[in-house]
Amino acid sequence: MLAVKTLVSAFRHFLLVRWVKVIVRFGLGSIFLYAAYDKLLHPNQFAEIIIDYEMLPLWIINIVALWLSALEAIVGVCVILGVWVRANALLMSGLMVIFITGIVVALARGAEGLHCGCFSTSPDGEPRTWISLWQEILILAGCVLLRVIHCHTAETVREPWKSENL
Amino acid sequence: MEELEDVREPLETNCVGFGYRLVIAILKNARRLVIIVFVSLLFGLGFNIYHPLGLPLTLSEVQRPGIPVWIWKRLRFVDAMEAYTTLQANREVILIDVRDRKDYEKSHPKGALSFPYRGFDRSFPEFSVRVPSDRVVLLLCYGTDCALSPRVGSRLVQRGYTNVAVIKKGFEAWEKADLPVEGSGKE
Repeated sequence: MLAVKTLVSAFRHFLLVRWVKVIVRFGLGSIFLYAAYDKLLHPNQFAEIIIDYEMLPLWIINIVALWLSALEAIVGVCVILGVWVRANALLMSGLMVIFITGIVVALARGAEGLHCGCFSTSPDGEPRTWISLWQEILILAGCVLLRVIHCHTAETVREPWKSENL
Repeated sequence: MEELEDVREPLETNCVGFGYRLVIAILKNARRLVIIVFVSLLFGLGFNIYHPLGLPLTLSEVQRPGIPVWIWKRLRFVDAMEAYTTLQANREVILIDVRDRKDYEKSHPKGALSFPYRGFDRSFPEFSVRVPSDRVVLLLCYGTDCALSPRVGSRLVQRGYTNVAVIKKGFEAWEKADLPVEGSGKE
């Protein structure tokens, strides 16, 4: 009887972890795809938003604008399809750390109210405020969660320090 | 004191552990990370070739980022003296100062109208009523690194203005050439 209960509990746990993984993957992937969509459509406006952050030399801004939007789209698609999830989760976390740093530096300089460039490039949308910072921190937490739940298979729970489980 | 040290030790170990784990994770995924970054760069640059708003990848001395290739082909650049001569020769030419209002009020080229970049979308309907789209429009901003006048120029070209020119090095060059200015002079 005990063995059956344990089996049922293990199966439930397996299902729960699997569904949590799928939900987090789809959620984060969709957020990144949504964020990339408008930037891919209007690279010129996204480049102007990057100029306003005043953190990069002018000569590199066009390339960064094109690359960042493509990177967001590709990691979004990969995560939804379940391709190289750990590597993509690492990249997503890195991207979020860069975005958060940008927003913090801009807000600290007193550039509040300029365009955030987080999800839209429209001149009317998304002023850069402390709320956009919290929104980015929440997404970063999601990226870390994605990475953690994809590392926590049965073996990694037993021996999380092993390099092959990272 | 001993209690404090007892508390600190595991915290420090955790921090070192996190850093170590992060470095190992990056190293272990390095090949995949490089592939994703490289593919996204190729995708971004390839997409740009066929994009109607494609951006130039290299910028000339007068070009600024965020302005599509097709607009650069329609924007002209003139130096301050040439702009002044054009203004004197033709009264139909309009000189627009795109700097912030307070800088405009302090000092601006004589006869220039204020049309700050920050309020472009709000002010454009009135501007379009007063200025026909075939009129010669000269744009001026702060100086060498100022990207505002090409940005306003880009928006005007996108809205159908056919004769837009940007003054190279902006107000800095205007003052340097000793051309007439007016304004309150107050900070």
